Amino acid sequence: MKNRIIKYCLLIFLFAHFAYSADENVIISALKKEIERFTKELSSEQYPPYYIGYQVTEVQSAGVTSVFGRTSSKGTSFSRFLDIDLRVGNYQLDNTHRTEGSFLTRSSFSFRQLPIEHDELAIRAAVWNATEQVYKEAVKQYRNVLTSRAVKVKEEDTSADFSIEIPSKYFEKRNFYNVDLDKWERILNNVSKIFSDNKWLLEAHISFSFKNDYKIFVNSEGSEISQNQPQFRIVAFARTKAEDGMVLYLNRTFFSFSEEGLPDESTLRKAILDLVSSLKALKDAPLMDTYSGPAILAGEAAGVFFHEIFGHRVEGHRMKDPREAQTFKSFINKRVLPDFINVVFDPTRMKLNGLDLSGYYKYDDEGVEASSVVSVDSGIFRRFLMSRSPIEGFKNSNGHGRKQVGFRAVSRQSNLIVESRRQVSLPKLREMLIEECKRQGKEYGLLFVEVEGGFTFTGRTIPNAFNVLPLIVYKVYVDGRPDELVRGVDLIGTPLTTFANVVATGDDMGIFNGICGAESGGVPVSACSPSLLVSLIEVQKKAKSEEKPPILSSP
Amino acid sequence: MIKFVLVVLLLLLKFYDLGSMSHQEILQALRDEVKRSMDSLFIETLPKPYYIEVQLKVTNSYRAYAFLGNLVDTSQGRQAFVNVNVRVGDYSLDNTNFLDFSFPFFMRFSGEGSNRRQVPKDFDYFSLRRELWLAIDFAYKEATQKYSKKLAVIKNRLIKDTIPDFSKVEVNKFYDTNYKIVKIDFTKYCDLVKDLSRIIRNYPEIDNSSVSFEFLQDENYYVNSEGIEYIKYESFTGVEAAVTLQSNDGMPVTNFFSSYADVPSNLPSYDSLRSAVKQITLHSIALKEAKPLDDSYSGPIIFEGQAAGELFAQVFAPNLVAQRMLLSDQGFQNLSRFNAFQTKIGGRVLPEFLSLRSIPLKKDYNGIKLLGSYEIDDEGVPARNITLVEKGYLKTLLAGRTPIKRVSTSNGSNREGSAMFSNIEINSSKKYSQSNQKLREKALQLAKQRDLPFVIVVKKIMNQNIMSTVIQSIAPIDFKFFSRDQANIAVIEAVRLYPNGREEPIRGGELKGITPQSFKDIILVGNKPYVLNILVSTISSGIDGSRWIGASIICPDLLFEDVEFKPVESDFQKPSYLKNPLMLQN
Repeated sequence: MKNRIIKYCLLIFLFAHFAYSADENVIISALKKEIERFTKELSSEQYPPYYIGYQVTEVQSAGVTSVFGRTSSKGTSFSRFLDIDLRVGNYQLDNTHRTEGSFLTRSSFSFRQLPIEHDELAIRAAVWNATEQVYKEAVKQYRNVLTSRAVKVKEEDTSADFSIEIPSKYFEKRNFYNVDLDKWERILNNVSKIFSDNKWLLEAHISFSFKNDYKIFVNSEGSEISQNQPQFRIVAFARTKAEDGMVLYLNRTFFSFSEEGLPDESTLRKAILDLVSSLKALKDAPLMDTYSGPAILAGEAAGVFFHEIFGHRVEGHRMKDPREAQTFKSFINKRVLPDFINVVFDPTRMKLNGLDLSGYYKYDDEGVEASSVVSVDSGIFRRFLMSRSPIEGFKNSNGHGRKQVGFRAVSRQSNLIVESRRQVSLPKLREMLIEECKRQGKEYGLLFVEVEGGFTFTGRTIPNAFNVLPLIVYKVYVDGRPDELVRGVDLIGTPLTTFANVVATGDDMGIFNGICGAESGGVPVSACSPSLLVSLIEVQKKAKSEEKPPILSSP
Repeated sequence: MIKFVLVVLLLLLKFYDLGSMSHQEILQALRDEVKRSMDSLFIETLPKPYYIEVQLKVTNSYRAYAFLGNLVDTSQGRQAFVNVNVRVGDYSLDNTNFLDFSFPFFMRFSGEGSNRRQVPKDFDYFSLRRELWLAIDFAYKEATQKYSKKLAVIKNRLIKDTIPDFSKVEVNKFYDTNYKIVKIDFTKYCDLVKDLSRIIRNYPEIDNSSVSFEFLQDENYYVNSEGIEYIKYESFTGVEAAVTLQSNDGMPVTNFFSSYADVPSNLPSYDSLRSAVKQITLHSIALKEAKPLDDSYSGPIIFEGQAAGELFAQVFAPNLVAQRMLLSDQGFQNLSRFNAFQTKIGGRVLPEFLSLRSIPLKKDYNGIKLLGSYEIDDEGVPARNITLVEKGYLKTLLAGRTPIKRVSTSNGSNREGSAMFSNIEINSSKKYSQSNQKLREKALQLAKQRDLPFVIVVKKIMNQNIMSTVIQSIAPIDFKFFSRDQANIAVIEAVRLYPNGREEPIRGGELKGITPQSFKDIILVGNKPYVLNILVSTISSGIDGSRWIGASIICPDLLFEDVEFKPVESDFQKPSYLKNPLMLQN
């Protein structure tokens, strides 16, 4: 009908009218029966499935957004989705094996919306229909894999396609959350009035959002897992334009696993006041030229920096793909960072310094128990983040196979924590920055206070560079002049060179909670790091709009 | 290249309750921002706007989708958007009707733009003006850039086209303020789709299915700088059901049912809906065993009921719309494939016994509500009933305010941003208007002359809206109901009609090569018009990006002398390996 074409609207426009009694067993039973049926009845086929994994994700969500003191949107929803991982062949070689051009193909029915009621037969009918399609697709893919193997040279990495893991059993009842949206609407409308007093803002809103993914995982190896993954967030966002047309924006985010863990109205008020004044200062700040020299990346910014330039390069599955640069493949047990630094990915850690970490989970999306991975120990690179896709020297998963609903799991980051044994106080770190500037004959160093994220290239066909997108950057002058806020630069570089230039860290810990987007979709992660002093970084001018600010004043 | 971005989660759930502004306050906000912009919006050295139009669209929606007696998805809410158009230059030459491939659409920052710009839930005078201010500013800057590029292209070419870019019309004001937003017991309609979908549960031969309900109500507020204003209310509701299965040789089989109305209380009764869902289910199951065509058929074909209306809607009617050629760096271009009649005014496009009228002002036909009815078009021009084809000859085309060579002014046909058809009625002279039996006799007579053992009667063909919004979502991606050739039309229900009157269902098939010109070869029509209410795709994307709009085709059965009907030629997917769990009953 008319609305189907604006499905993107509907997905953010859902409204649940029905309360559902929690009966997780109906779903588990439906999934197990279909696994049993498919395994048995396809056993005599030429290519029977050797593995079937079902994940049902029940998504309960609620949210409200306020714009300049008025409610823009408000709603709740409940949906249920099915993901299927069905494999034919064997653990060593199966239909998921990479072939040329295979990144363009995706099983057409690996994902399906399921009925939201607890009708086992209807759920089974939907699961059956989807599995039939996935199986046919898998057989087709497997035939392609066999043909491809016959005509291609031997691969560099001959690891298996799927690791053998011990089945896990873990059960949590589904949590239903009674979120007081009216309360949040009232609070957000109160605090977003602050935006109204600033007519130079072109866009400003504050949102409360809640989502609980209740994940039920069942596979043909005997794993049965059900777990809740709640997320509560408040995000304030403001955008304006400098006179030269540069679009400027800042945000403030708060994350917690519980509603109680979110800030109260007065804290939000302060955060918005700070957001507005920071953005105003940025609007009036001078443009920065290109620069290379020393810099401090303050806590949160340093966390994001590590996430981008290090974290994505230790995602194990990339070592298998000949198109990937595989930066660290030959660095196992070799130095990649200064000896005072450890880098740990720890999804089992729920909190750090009293703050919730959004990369926390008990089991990954392939049913493997989460575990802490020390990737860099005293500067020496030790291990990759692993899903169930083995690579040379790493035969098993370490519980980092993650994905968004509708995607196939690959190895992804969780809670990245940078630990340092060379910590100095922040004033001391600043002194060290100035000393380094003097040593290099620089007029100033840079202090990156806020970054919005970034991107990195990990392929072989293009320079293996990263680009971190700073939001707030100061010049720190060596002659004692006050720090000067500047705008219009991106932090760029190549990973190995930049790591070699980390000189010291602060004694603080910045925590960034966000959603990381990559080939298996958006997954919640955190990036935690002390402030970093880097002896040499490079910045380039940011791309900017050529459009002037609005011609008329705000009505 | 793989790109990674750390982003913060912005879960924006778009919902809200009724706003509290009066109709007049809303119009006043629109007027005030248009006036301020007309008075003061300009950049030195660049032309001022000569025309600004703004629209506020508030949509109230309900939607439910069910599978085998269970709800899968429900939504209910209200959204408001503003849409803005700014023109610089003058009526004879402005920034429009120009195709600029270099225009940096993708450079837009989210939150910028002049179309479908979201307005807060409980908007007030100032929040509404604020969004209009930003939308108009954006549209003005875009218009000036496009205008200067267009001038540069014109200066470099010998342009013969002197058709004005925009036509002048009488200033009208139309305020339909007597409507009331209909509140429904949504649970009742959720139960309805659950009940209807439960019927399919009794037929495990069906692989997949969907039953859905939708109810949309749009409140439209419009003001332009010429003084045209309107407030209009439009409502649409529908129930759709679709089923898919595979025959033993792998050929996919599908069928669907749809019924649309203005408000839910005008939908068919519960019993009729149940019967319709059961009918499409049983038909699909019966078709599973039916014989496909051995070979392509070329000969007389009768199109009955829905099939006749759909054929007109898909192949003929879109060509009745005036389409301006767009100027670009490479000369004039027409991007639409529906341009068969742009130069045919005065020429014959149908047999001389057929006439065709556009009747947007007609609200019902033989007691059936017409889905395409409206009183004023989206540019504020009053709708009018027009004879488009008289005794086979094309008289004019449906047009909005964008002129073409042969249609210089609007005839009130702008729907969702461009000219579009609405209610179409096909009439025949009495001599050629025969009973269905006579049509069949004539077809069989023609078949005999060509040594054909049977003729084909097509009773239902694929609807494009149902295909893209329902069937594609329940059928596997490589299910081929018809070949990928855009000109081919998938047949849902057809039979071989033998001289002894026996009908034999045909499984799978598509119509090949039917063009707007083929309609000149209609040799007889039925005498009982069928009213087809459908959703049709706008010819070009509208002011707010909407794509599907309601239309009605009132059309008798049609007998074509020579049409090609071919079996679907494809490697079909294997049928299901396992039985549907519904067969197992445990």
